Amino acid sequence: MAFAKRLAGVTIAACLIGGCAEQDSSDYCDNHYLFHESHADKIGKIDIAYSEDGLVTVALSLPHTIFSGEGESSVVSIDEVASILNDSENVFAVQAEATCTETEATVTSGAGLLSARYELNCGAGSKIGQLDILLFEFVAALDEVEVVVQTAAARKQFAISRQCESAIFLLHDKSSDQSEE
Amino acid sequence: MHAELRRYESVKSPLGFFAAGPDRPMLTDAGDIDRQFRYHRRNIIVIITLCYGLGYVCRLALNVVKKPLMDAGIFTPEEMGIIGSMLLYGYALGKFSNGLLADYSNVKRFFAAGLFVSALLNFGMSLSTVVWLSALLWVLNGWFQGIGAPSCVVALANWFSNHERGRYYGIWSTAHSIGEGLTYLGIAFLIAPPPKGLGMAWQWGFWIPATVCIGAAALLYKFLQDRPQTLGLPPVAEWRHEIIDKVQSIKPSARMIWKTQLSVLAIPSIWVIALASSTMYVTRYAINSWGNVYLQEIRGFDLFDANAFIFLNTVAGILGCVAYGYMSDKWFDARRPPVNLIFGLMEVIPLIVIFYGPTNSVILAAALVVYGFGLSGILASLGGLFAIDIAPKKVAGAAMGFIGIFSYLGAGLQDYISGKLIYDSEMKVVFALGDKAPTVYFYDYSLPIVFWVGASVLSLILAATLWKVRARD
Repeated sequence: MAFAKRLAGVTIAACLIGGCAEQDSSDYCDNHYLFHESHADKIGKIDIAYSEDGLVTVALSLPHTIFSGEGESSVVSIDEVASILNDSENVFAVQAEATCTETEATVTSGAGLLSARYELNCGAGSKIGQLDILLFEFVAALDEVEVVVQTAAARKQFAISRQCESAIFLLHDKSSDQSEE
Repeated sequence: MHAELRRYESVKSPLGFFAAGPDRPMLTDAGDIDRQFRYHRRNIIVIITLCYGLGYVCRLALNVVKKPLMDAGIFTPEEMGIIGSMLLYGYALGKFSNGLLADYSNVKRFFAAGLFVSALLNFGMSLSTVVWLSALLWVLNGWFQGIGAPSCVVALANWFSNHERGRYYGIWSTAHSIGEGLTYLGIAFLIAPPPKGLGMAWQWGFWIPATVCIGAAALLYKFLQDRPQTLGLPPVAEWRHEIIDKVQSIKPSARMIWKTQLSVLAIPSIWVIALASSTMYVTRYAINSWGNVYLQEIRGFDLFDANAFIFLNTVAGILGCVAYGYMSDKWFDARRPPVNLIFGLMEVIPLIVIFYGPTNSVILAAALVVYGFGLSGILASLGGLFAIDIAPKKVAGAAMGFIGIFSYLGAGLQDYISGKLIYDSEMKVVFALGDKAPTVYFYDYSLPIVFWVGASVLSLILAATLWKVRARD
């Protein structure tokens, strides 16, 4: 009987430690996927593609409204952000087996969007181990981005928010709906 | 004399609690004997089927929480492979050693204790984020899980006679699918995010199975029984008035049995079956362990749907087992090789469709159903039936044990190799956010898939080389 009581105590304690600790992570992050679609067109987008032949493409599209002080973001000049984006080292860093060479870096602004596109050739035989996205470090006004990463094997869509420890998955992915049909 | 010896051994041995009990004086009231046999037999078949199925939840829980553990960066795929393979090595060893022990055990206590310890080890897994500790807990879990099947087989042998055992063995066999189904749907429901699941933390994927297994252990302790003789009942064959072969009653010496057991190793076909079974287990456990992770990582399904797909193949497996036996007995005069080829093709072709075919959900579901059907059929054959056909009948158990060890070694190596191949392909996308660094992992399953499908093709070829092998009478 005493053992049973002790076991029950340990079980409850374990549940409290593990289960309730999870409650600490903000509801915002846990439930974000439910309301993400309602503001998806107002946040930045990052498209990353890594092809089998070692070509890496990183494309950004940031609505001007992000930098106009709407919501909680601070006012930043578009030109200032554009100059940050001009240097790909402010945007991302690649850790690959071989050195990658940058073949394209263009930054354009128009139709309410600040766009940037970078291309790197890492060679077909060279494996990329890690891709660091540094944009949030250099663009303080950026709170959240929606990201699509396409590799030769998989495609993932998720959101990254300054408030959340982990990527937010389960976003409504229209392109995958189409591919299923 | 024999009963006294048993009693003496049970008192002397530190593990005496688990030893089979002494025979009680035989009951004399035929009506009472009938009533007790009917009552206990009904309880036993229900309880071993239910509890062996529930026990599976404590064995497979890790497979369902694998992806959340990888996503959280707690374990890499290679580490998951190491931990997963430990269960299979422990299980191979446990099934063999506990098979020997079960013959001398009170299976009521032995099986209940096995499930109870397995439950505690699952609790332990929920608290461990250290590779070596998780691997240790999981190898022990494998060993304790290895108590279940031999205990059930001993209970079946004690309470059901030769002429009815096939039917009851068939009923008990459904426990595999019940257990896998409960895990892949039930645990996935707990862990999967809303609206499909409850969105609980991965730790619950161990706590709930542990609670289920403690409940199952309590049920076993209450309803499972030791041998009929320990309740004052006659042996089941005597109760059913079945003729007991007098030749069988002459007990061969241990040396004779050992010699005959060793003779199994001199049969080349047994080695071929062992290799064929081992390679088939590579695919079986690859789909069970990594299938749901592949469906989430590469095909983009959520945790619940991915596990529901794997569930489909386990359900189809119930039919596959039954269909294999029926087809080989009725249509091919108990010749296994032609049916092995048919079921082998039913396993390999859907595998190719699953991994290289159209990315349509309906086709994927259909392919998994056919795969599960084919795999279970060939599993019944290569995993035991074909070996029993070929081996001397007196040492069928040794043949089964030999093939079982090979099979689970194959399954265990698979888990490690798959994890290593997946991990080698890892690419991380890391977002620098001050003190936070959300990380998303990408894997390429091309090489593991070649390994999994290749193993099945090899298994099919090996089985086909035994085309002319006939059953030994």
